[in-house]
Amino acid sequence: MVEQPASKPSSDVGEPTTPRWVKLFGLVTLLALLVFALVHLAGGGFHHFGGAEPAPGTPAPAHQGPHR
Amino acid sequence: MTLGPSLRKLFLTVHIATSVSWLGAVATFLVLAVAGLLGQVDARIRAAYLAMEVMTWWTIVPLSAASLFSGVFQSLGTPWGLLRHYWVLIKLLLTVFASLLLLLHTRPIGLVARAAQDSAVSLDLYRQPRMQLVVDAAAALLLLVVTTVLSVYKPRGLTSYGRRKQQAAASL
Repeated sequence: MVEQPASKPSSDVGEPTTPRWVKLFGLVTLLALLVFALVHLAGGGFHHFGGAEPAPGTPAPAHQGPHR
Repeated sequence: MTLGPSLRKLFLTVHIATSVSWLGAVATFLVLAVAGLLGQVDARIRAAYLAMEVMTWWTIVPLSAASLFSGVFQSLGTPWGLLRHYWVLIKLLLTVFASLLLLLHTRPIGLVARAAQDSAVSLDLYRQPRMQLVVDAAAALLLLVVTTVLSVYKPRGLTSYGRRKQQAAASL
């Protein structure tokens, strides 16, 4: 939500380096992405949602009754 | 390009409304995903996945697009800019990432919803994508909370592009 720059910090001018919060945020984001990717890969990969479908040749799910 | 005050407020209103609605919709989606995964009553579980598919296409996808585009217009139309401040840039990247993630996951949502439509198909066969929907919805919710926090606190810090722009403006 970008607002009018009325609350824009004036001390930005004197900060030639990347702020510490950005570095910390980048580090946390990288770790989170790594965990997220690992969770997906452990679960069968990003493209593998179809893998949960019954493989060809397996018994038809219609015979499994009214289970979840 | 700088918007006039009326147009700026209009874009800001649209952006806040769509962003907060997107967050709320994802929270609801997460509740349904958990209900679908842990529920005991078959009809309720199936209803949850059918509702999730409708929500995705008719609420979450349009809101994410509206939030992204209204945010871009809003930032370009004010002195904040799109690439000048770290918080705006990070928020843009997170929003784009969340939107892409959402589009990527319309497939498993459709897959599980189609299975839920057929009462003869056991949803136990879809345990993995159902679990994945919970994890991804939780991740998306966290991400949207972070973008909201960034919007409210607006932490300091100019990008190198922002510093160059500011120096150029100061030297005029």
